[in-house]
Order: sequence, then C-alpha cells, then structure tokens
Amino acid sequence: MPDRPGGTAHVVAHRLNGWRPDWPEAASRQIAFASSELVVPPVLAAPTSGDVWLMPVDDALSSKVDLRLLKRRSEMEPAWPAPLSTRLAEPAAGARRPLSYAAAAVRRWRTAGAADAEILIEDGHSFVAKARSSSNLVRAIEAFNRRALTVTPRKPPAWDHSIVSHPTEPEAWSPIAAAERIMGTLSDIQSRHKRA
Amino acid sequence: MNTTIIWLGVLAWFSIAAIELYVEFPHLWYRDALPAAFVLLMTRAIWLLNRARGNSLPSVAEDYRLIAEALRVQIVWWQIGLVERRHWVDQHLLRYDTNEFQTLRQGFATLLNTILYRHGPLAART
Repeated sequence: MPDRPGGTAHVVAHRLNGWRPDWPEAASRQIAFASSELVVPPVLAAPTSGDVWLMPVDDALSSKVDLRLLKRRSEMEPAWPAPLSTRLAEPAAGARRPLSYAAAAVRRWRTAGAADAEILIEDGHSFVAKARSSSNLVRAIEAFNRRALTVTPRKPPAWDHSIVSHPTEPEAWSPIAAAERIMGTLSDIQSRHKRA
Repeated sequence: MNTTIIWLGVLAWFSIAAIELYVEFPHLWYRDALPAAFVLLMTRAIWLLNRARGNSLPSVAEDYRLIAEALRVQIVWWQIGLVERRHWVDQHLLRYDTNEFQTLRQGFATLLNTILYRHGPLAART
C-alpha cells in the first residue's frame, strides 16, 4: 500500500498517479533524489503516469489471479488508492435528454466488467486479447515484432564478439551490441516501408 | 510509402483533370463518363489512404525514426559510461509533451528496460 513505508509501494503509486503537486510525499521525494534508479522529473516535465502489472502475492492462496492490471490515473482523477468517482455513471441531475441516459447506460455497461477487464492471467489461463486491448504500448510493440519478422536479422556489429560466441544465450550478449541490432532493424523496417 | 505517395499524386491529378474537362469542355463525347471516373478515382485514393493508415506507414516513417535516433544517442552515452538511470535518453526526450509523444517515450523506456533485463550487465561491458 502506498500509505505504508516501503519503496515499492511508493514507486507503484508514482507510476499510477504521475508526479503531482501533492504526490509524492516529502519522504519519497528524498528517496528518489538519493536513488540511482528513481529519477525526479524536471519541474516543467509533463506529469505522466502509466499502467502497473501486479502479481498478487498477499492473496495468492485465496485468489486464483496471477496477473492483474492497475490502470493509470489521469491528472483529473483522484490519486490511487482513492477510489474513482462513480457519479459519472449516472445521468446528471435534471438531465432529461435521451442521449444522457444512453451515455450513462453505456458507461454502466463498461464499468460493470471493469474488475474482470483488469485480470490478465487467472488460474493459469492468460487473456492475451484483453492484454493487447488494454495498452497502446503493447499493440505498438507487437506491431514492431511482426514487422521485425519480415526483415532479415542484421549481423552483429564488427567490434562485438559476445553474440557470435554465445548465439543461443542472449543473457551473455552485450546490451550495446543488442541495441545496435535493434537500431538496424528499425532502419530496415523503415527502408522496406519507404518503398511500399 | 514512396509508391503510395506517387499513386495518390497521380490519382489527385487525374481527378482534377476529370473535373476540369467536365466543366470546361461541354462537347466532349466522353463527358458523361467523367463524373463516374472522378468517383472511381476518389474511391481508389481513399482505399490507398486507408491501406497506408492500416499499415501505420506514418508511424513507421516518423516514430521508428525517432526511436532509432534516440537509440543511437543512448548507445553513445552507454559507451562513454553514462549508465545510470538518470542518463537514459527517455529521461530527457519529449518530457514536456503529452499524449502520443508520451507513448513514444514510454515505448522507448520499455525498449531500454528490455535490452538491459535480457542481456548482460551494462557497466561491466563498457
């Protein structure tokens, strides 16, 4: 929980909520300043947030959920773990127009399955389509992977020997050489699409 | 992308020609077919445009270029020993923009994380 001491909890809350004027609290700001992994954003940087993929550990015995998605909170929404307001699910007071009721019904229908929509792996069964639809980033990465399969893999850079000497052990490869190969793949995909 | 752009230009040129011929030359023997030709040309152009969007040609042309260039900078920074998290390029790239640019930035950060989780330690190899 983000209201308890613990670096992970603060990181999760920061990720979900973004860097807000009232968040993080002073202690976690100092932790971030002292950390080599956490980076305090520039003052004028856009306060961005992101989704968190949570593997429940505490309730592992009582629940069959193995991977849960916690959706990011936008600037206009209350900071996590405060619950989201459900008032928007009902038509505004005095609103009599049919469109208002239709919109409210759609919102109710969408929020009714929200809890299920957050479960990505349950009882050993993974919901790939749900994971894909939950994140623009996942779709973009999958699109890149599909395109990367259509181009010939690049040879490792001439200065690197880690890939050639350990072709089946990616964990032994130089990350710089791997980054160069990815950069080359991006260029190859671009060249291919440029001619299309 | 190049072929699509050329085809869209050709279709636009012929569409304008069809309209001009229809308006300026009322005695042409094939004048009655020109509106249908215009509709066909426009339909073809819209189909081409939709195909280009479906293949995400703009994102490949622009977003992939941005990621490749950011990766080029990151490789140099890693090579000269700037390996701490605050020296990752995603911490300095597009920090003041929102929406699509933030997706790009987070995608680039994911790529850097993937490289470092999947491959050997960075500091030991610089």
